Amino acid sequence: MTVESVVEVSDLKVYFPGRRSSGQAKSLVRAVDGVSFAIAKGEILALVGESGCGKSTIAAAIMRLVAPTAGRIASGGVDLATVNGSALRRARRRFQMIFQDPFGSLDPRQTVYETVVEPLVIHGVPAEERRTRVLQALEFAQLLPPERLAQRYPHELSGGQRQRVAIAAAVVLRPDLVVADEPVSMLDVSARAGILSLMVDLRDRLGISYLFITHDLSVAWVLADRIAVVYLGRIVEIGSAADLVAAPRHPYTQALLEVTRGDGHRTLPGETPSAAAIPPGCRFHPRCPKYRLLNEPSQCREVDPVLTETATTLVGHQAACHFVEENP
Amino acid sequence: MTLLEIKDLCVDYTVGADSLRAVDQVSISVAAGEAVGIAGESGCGKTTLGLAVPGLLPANATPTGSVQLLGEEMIGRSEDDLNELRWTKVSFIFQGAMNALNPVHRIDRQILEPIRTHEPNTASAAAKERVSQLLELVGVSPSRARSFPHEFSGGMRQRVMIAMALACRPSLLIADEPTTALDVISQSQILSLLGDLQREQQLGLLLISHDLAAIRRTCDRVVVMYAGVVVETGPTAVILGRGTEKRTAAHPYTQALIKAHPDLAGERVLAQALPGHPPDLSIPIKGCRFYDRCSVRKSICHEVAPTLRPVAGTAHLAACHLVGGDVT
Repeated sequence: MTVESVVEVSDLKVYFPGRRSSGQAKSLVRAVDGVSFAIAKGEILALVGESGCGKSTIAAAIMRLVAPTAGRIASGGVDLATVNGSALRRARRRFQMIFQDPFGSLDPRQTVYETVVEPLVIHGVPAEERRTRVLQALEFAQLLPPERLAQRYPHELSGGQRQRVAIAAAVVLRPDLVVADEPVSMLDVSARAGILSLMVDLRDRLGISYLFITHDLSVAWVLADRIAVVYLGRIVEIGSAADLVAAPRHPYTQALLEVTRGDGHRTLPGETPSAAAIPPGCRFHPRCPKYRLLNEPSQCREVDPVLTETATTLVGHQAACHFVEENP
Repeated sequence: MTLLEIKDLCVDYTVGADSLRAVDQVSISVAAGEAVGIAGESGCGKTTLGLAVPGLLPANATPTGSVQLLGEEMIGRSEDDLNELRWTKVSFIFQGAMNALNPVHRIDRQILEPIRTHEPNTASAAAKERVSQLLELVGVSPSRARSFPHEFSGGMRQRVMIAMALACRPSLLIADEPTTALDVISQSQILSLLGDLQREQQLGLLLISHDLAAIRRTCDRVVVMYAGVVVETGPTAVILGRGTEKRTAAHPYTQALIKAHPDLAGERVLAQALPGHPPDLSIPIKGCRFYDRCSVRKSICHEVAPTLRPVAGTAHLAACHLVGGDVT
């Protein structure tokens, strides 16, 4: 590998015990079912998919908010999937997270200063350094003037400003990676653009990498360097943002693009199956337009496709479809 | 006769000693079988407007002006009278409405409820038959009529809510952000459904949404609101563009709203943020309400509130001094 990676995820699996239905064995919810990707230093990788596809669970596993069932999360010489104790604590300092809801993720009784200083206290930054670093983080987040904003409470701030506070708290420790789970989807459109350009600005100034989780392919397209499309616990397509949108190879990506563009009125039939009952073979085949168009080839029902690069796609653009050559 | 005729509607909220005009002199009409979209960001008054039609405003809100539904004045009517009209003439689907279903009742019973209330003479067998038809209409298999809400996904529950809203054959359906809480594929399915119903059942549809793409694809006309007033109105295809038709939004706010969301058909660049916030409506505003955030403002804009004026023809209107050659 030529570029330094901030994190390398390989064959990550996160399974949860499902409900026991009468007379049947306990089911297994395969929320994340074998996912691999790497994020380079200063890179923005977007995970795009619908709710329940496992994209937030991937994020939670990287932050070790849930324990991975299998796989490796390699970063800084340790495997975050298995480390514990002080090694995990040190690793957590390098990875920070921002959440969707800027109204729920801030403590209403804490001032902006108290919220942003907390990570410094937890990670033992000397008391005399803290104030300078908090004010600098607020400035990075364009909460100006920082001295005044520091004294505010969340209820005095707009949604966009609250999300900036969450970003300031995430970058105050100068992390290598920020995991952002739908950070703009609860904001008004006019506030969204500001948050997205702030994230890019911090990448440029501080070299922060992002794992950006979104259901909105068009936002991923303008923000991210690369996009990974997630369906039912698996990456079904990954590639550079421009390439993936210009020449999508997987039928699911093609369908997502079509509804996002909003010009076609065709939509996929049915709903995403439960992660406790993933279809055999290609997990997308029951809803796949290509499968029907090709008269239901048995391969799709029997063989689980792997991500493959093809002669017609650019390097690094991979799709998990048996008929990828026939998906222009 | 126009299905819905809103004329010079104002809604004032009283909070303690303060008063705030959330909707200010708004006039909108919806013909039978027509779909009209109300666009704008949170706090622009679009939900208040929607609530005023079926008389569902909270107790501290005072509507003035006129709201005529099928020729009958809705403002100042008694609660009993309004109850007669709700469900039978006008139905309302809320944002997150799928969570409004009662979790302990099977869905057939919940769809039956408005029929039993408003048409008590309907025979039990006929009412059950109608429930089956309604479920079929919204794309839910009638065999699932005995299910509980938790057995359905969000998209399916929203379909059930639509079935319920149509149970007593209303002429007007008001849908407030009906797809905001749903995934893109489900969103697309629900919007197609609403469009089909509106065409096939000659249903009037008032779609309230911050999502311009949803409005573009579903509505014949669009009304853009900002800080309680209508700033632009006209055919959706003209203002937002559709197919090969180029968009010709005239108001700087509408233009900013359109630009704030990345367009997969356009350039791959981060959107320009719209600086500032909507004005505080508890303080009287002399000139244009968008003045503080407008990039093309002139001195007259600070002094005189612009009224709606023709942009092209009589159908496309905008409230901006720079439209129609007053100011150059």
